[in-house]
Amino acid sequence: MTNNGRLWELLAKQFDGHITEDELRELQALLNEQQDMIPYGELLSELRGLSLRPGPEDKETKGNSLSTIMQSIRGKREETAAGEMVAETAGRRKGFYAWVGVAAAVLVIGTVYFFRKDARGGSSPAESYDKIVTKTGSRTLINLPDSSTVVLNSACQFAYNKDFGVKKREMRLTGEAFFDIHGNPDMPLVVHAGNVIIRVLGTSFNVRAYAEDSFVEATLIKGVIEVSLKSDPERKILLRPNEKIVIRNEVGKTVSPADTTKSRAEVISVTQLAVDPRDSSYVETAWMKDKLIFRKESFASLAARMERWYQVKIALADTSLRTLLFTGSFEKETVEEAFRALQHSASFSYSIDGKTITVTRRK
Amino acid sequence: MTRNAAYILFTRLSLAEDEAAIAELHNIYFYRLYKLAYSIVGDRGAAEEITNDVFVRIWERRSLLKDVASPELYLLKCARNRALEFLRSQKMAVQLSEDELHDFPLQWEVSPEQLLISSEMVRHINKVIDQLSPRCKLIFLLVKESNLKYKEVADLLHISIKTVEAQMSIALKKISLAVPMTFLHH
Repeated sequence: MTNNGRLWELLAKQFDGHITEDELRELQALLNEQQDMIPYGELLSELRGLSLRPGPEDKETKGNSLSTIMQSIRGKREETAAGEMVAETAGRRKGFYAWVGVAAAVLVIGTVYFFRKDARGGSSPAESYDKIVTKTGSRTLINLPDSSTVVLNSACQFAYNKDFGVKKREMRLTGEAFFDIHGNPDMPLVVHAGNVIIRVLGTSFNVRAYAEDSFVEATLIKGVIEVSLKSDPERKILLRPNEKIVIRNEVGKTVSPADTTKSRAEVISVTQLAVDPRDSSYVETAWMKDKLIFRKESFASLAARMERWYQVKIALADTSLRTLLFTGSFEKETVEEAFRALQHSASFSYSIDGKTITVTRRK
Repeated sequence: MTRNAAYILFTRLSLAEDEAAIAELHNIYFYRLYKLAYSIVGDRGAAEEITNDVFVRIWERRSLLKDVASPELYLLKCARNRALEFLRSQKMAVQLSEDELHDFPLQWEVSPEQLLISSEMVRHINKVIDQLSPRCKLIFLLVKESNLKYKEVADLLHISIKTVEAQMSIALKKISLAVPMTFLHH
């Protein structure tokens, strides 16, 4: 009977999902001894999948609650954001609701610059795209007509087909963006980034595909995505949540001699995500939180990210500097503070001349 | 899964005036916050007001949300704090002690992909859950629906981890044993 109590304790731990491997072995041993308890173990795992059903009274409360909250939020916005309402009206006149969201984001972030081709529909060819370009040091939220959202990092070129969500969902990206895509099994969404094609059903993921980087990187947070190469569309790779795929660009500027000798099979790698143990956030999406996080990253790659982050030019004067590895994060540091911090873990000198930073080996 | 959902929605809110994100957050978390508030204040109207207030505050402070490490726990803590503030304003006891938690109804449903659990069985389960003590029921709800760790539940309700463990194993044992064996062999 004491065993029985222990058994329930272990079943509870398993239900909670925080059972250790040793405890799991103990649980299996106990279930072996008491086989009549096995169905209860199965019952509990089924119970995990059950969902809550609110009563009719609760449902009504929930509906009322949302409208009260929305009224309260909008009331506050009208007091403060007269300029934004002008932007919204302008968006409505064009009858293109998706741009309302973008217009709002432009005003909130303030540094976004975008252009779009002629918006008068009908005369435009089927293959035309709406295009957005973001400046360095800014981020842009885009609400799409199918209620998907895309957050663009700085210095991006992003485009999606004009009749997005009507017949197809296609996007092109140069730069880095986080996608939260509304599920639609009948109309998969396709992202073209460099030489990589990503097919999406409904999911959240991050893509990094800057032209000056030597690779395209896709990180999946939730759902399923299918990745293939423009040059080899038949070869498809399925990505599971918390996995990251890195694909070397065919025309990367920073491909080292050693890399070019690698066979085609080696240019693609799939790895598990590194989660920041302090707050369980992801390195890959840290840019959205105003953080620059790097783990065992080469100076060449880090310098390219720091250029976009600080809007500077960084020249590594000696090629041996390129392979130095750094781990750390920057949040509110100035570019000078960042370089001084990096000097703690590697020996180099730097000089700042306006927006250009030259890094040399220490003499 | 829901943890990631909250993380994504908090990120969206911290980036822009994203009304769709607050509506989605409300859709996912309303019942959990409402039940927690209700079990502390024991009044539907007050619980609703408290829950509304949590979402409006989240909206007002959205630019700070990017620094929140655990969005789900943050929402629940906001609801708990607002509920305790409400009790304080009513000059009532502000302890989260066992006998001061109020009972609330819970109902479960079968999703189509559940093969082992029939609607008959769910009726049994509902009945047992409703007979659990208010505290036991609340702990079960927090672990089951919000995927909180025992330590987080303990922190939220100002009780020890041992108590959470004990209450969870009581809840699971009662639920399991109430289901007739015949349902388990089909």
